[in-house]
Amino acid sequence: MTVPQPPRVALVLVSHSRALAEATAVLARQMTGDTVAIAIAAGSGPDGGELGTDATAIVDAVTAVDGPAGTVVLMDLGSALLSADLALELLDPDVAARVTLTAAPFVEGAVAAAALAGTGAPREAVAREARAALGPKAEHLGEAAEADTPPVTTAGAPSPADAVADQASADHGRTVGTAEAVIRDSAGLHARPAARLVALAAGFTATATLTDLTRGTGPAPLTSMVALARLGVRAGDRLRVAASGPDAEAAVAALAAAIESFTGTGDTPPPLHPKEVTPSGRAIPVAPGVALGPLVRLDRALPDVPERRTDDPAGETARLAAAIATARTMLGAAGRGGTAGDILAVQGALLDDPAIVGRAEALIGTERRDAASAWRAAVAEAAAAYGALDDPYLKAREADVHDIGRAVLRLLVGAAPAGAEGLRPGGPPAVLVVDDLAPSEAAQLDPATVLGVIDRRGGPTSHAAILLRAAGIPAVAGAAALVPAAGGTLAALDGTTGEVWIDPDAATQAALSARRTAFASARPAAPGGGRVTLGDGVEIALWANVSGPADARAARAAGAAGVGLLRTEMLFLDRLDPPSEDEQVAALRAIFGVFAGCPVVVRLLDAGGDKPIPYLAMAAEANPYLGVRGLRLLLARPEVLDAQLRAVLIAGHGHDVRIMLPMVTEADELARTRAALERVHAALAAAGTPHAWPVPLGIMVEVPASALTAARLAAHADFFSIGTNDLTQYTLAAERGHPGLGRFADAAHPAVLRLIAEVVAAGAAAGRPVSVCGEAAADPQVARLLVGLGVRTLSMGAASLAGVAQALDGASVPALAAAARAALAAETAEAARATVAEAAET
Amino acid sequence: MTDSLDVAALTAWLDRAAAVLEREKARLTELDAAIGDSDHGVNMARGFSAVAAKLAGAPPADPAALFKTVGMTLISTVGGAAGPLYGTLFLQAAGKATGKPTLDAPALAECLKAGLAGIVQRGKAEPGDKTMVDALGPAVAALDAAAGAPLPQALAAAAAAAEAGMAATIPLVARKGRASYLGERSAGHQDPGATSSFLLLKALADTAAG
Repeated sequence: MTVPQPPRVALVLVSHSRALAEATAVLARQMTGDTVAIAIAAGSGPDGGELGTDATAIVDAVTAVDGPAGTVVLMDLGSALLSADLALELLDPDVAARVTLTAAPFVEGAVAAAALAGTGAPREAVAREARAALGPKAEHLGEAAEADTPPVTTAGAPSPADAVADQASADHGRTVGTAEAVIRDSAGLHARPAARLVALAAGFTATATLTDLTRGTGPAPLTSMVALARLGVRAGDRLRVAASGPDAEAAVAALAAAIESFTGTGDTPPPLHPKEVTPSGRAIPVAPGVALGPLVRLDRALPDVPERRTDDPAGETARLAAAIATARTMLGAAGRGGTAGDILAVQGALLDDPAIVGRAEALIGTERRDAASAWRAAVAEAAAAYGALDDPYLKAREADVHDIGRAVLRLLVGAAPAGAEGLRPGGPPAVLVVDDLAPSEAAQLDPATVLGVIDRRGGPTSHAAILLRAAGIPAVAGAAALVPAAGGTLAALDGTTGEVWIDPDAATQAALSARRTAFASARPAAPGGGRVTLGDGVEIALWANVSGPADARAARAAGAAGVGLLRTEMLFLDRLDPPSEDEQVAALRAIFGVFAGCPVVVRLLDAGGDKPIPYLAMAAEANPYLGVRGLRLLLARPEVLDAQLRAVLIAGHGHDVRIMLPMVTEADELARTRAALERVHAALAAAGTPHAWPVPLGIMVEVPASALTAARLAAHADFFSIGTNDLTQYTLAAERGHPGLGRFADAAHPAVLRLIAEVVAAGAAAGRPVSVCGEAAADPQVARLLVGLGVRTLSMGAASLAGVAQALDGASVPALAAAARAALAAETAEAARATVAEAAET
Repeated sequence: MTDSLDVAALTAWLDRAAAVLEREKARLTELDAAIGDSDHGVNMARGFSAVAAKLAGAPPADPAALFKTVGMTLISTVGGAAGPLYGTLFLQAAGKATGKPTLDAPALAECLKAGLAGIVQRGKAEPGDKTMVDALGPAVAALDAAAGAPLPQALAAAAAAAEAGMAATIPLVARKGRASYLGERSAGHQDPGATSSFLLLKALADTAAG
């Protein structure tokens, strides 16, 4: 479909300042991605750290990017010119013959040159475009090009742009083409066909436009979904495609054919009217339980952001670009295929839409707004443009614009923009319908007012799903096909089966109420005080695993006696910048407050390849589970470690707080962390900042090495908590969630139990408490085995507390210990489980 | 007393130049601070100390090789405009020195003349633009005129001419380089480039004088 790519002209940026050249290269690459080779020769001194230029560095840079299309060199000032001039003499004459030095303004010229070079234009055209780059700036500021500045255009001569076009035409032959096509799709040119046209047009070098001849609207650039929507194209309209550029003819033919192919049969958008939707069906089960209640939509309008000005438009533009790129990655990760895939394609195209992105960039550039307020304004304008259309299909795209707007805005401003009250407006408890619940939002949901959650997108493994399970809120995901985008008054779901009902009839409602009662009564009442006393008086403490204030409240309500695992990742995910110390302190305080007077074990940031965090710039790893994750990552990023340690100590003031390190392999890592903790404490003490001290420092036993050397580690660790999920996957060499290795995903495997026994023995010998905070503790059978092995503290999601309490209630320690001994000698996880099942019967 | 300079003598000159520039670093920087970007002293000291180190590490075979080494080292270590300019001077000089085991006064005059032409071509500066050309130009003329005299006297004459040229830059208005942005305000200050040119020629004359 595309013509073979011509060789691209390369750029070399020569500056006194390495920082200036690097930043200029970043701006230029925004125009072209990696299609144009850009090298810098900047700074002097051994590592280019000092201001100055170096002709030999220019020679190296030109040689590095030299290609058949040649190189355009841009320079800043003074010695840069002299050095570049000298470099031409030092270069291989064949290479030097392909080099053009241009007097273009450095930054503007680099950006303009990169943009044109990306199209495959020849060297002289690229150099001319660069020189002409001062024109728009002068025009914008209302300054005529001054007589003594380099002439931008010469009177009577063709404008540089014409010259470029002429040059391009001379080099590539045909430049323009038009074709007409009639749109047959009954919905006109709605969002998904429009997204396809934009994607198709992007594959050509030629720039294309679309005009609605029937309606007399346009031309609209085929780069902008918003502009295409404004054409107001309806079924039967005659459209004209026009293109100019080297492959114009091919582009026009392909685009016209695509328009004719939109028949409306395969492209019917989801109907808007609820009556046309199947009222029930199965979505993806996420969190068990049955919910029935008023349907409330989490209608997240664009959050307001303060309109800030910036002194650093380039920095804000780069921030915006980064947020858009991250949002696109997240869209891609959210789901593929089917209707959801189509919706994502529409949203992906909107993220590229110059009517939104270009407008935001213009607001940053001309009005010096910061990225967040510029983006919000551009999104609001685009959404209003859709909302003003009379075509109901296009009108509905307003929601898509708001969606992508929110996603990017969330990345730009950090944590959840809405408060908890924004997530669940006043009124009776209800079933929440939401599109793509964010972890930050899930963490704020209160089980007292949110009966259940139907996520039209999302999936069972999202972080939001983990939070919903922990909070005991029944939930399903991936329900877009079952739940209309608007309408409905009553909703119901079964989070165990994935069933969803919208406006169920009276009989169904009655059946659902019965099902809900049955589910609730199958779960024993909450234990008292989070402690279970076994038959012979031994007490087992039941603690909870929590991630935010909402599931902390649910855990407290369920009777947890403490927090055995406070995950801190949620604070770091879904954002572009690390959370500030203040932000961390506030978030931790909210959770500590719920468990005032109880022990809370804070696990430091456990990030890694499986939970990537954009601003930590983690290298891609072939096997992230065996890579730089957990404490390994923290020790490599001391600033992140120190900030989190400070926040925990400050927020922990007046609380029983303990710190747990994820992914410890050797004692040295623990010693280094303890040194950092002591330093942070000393600094806080010196500043007179109230903080928790002393604070126990323990390790999460996940790596088999740390289990096997627990006796040694006990000299350095104040406590052990066994993370059975990772310990199991590392011990059995079976990736978590691997579809073919399910039988190895069981912490009851004798090999894992032996490691646990090792840790318990080491802990007992050294007087270090040992607890278990993995999924195993939440499994009633395995919980009995763990108690049999000598574990006295179990930590789990709030929803599991009651079941585990019931499984342990009245059990006999000698019987469990005997079962555990037999389990250690068993051959498989299944056989190990059988021993404890038998013990239950005796 | 000698009538021509061999590699050892030229090396001694550049060692002396490195020492002088290190000593005069603050003064050159001060001059540059008045009308430029205050880096000339540091840049020149850095460049010539790199030259001295380079020559000590790998003594060149003949004057042409020596000049080439000096030129390339200056280009990649000075950083400011002086790098490509003095670099060009030495590279051009290397061309004229080719095949000569030692350089007498006429040969040195040839080298310096070629070097000056290179600088003029590279920097597009003319006499009176308040640049190093204002010191080097008179020096070349003086060396030419004194080519028949014993080498030390000829070089002393060149250095004296350079000094006069340097002093003469004080009332000039800069028309090249960073100082040209100051326009009329550059008048009243001595040009740092002309000053470093004089210092280099003075070091050469002192070396020849023994």
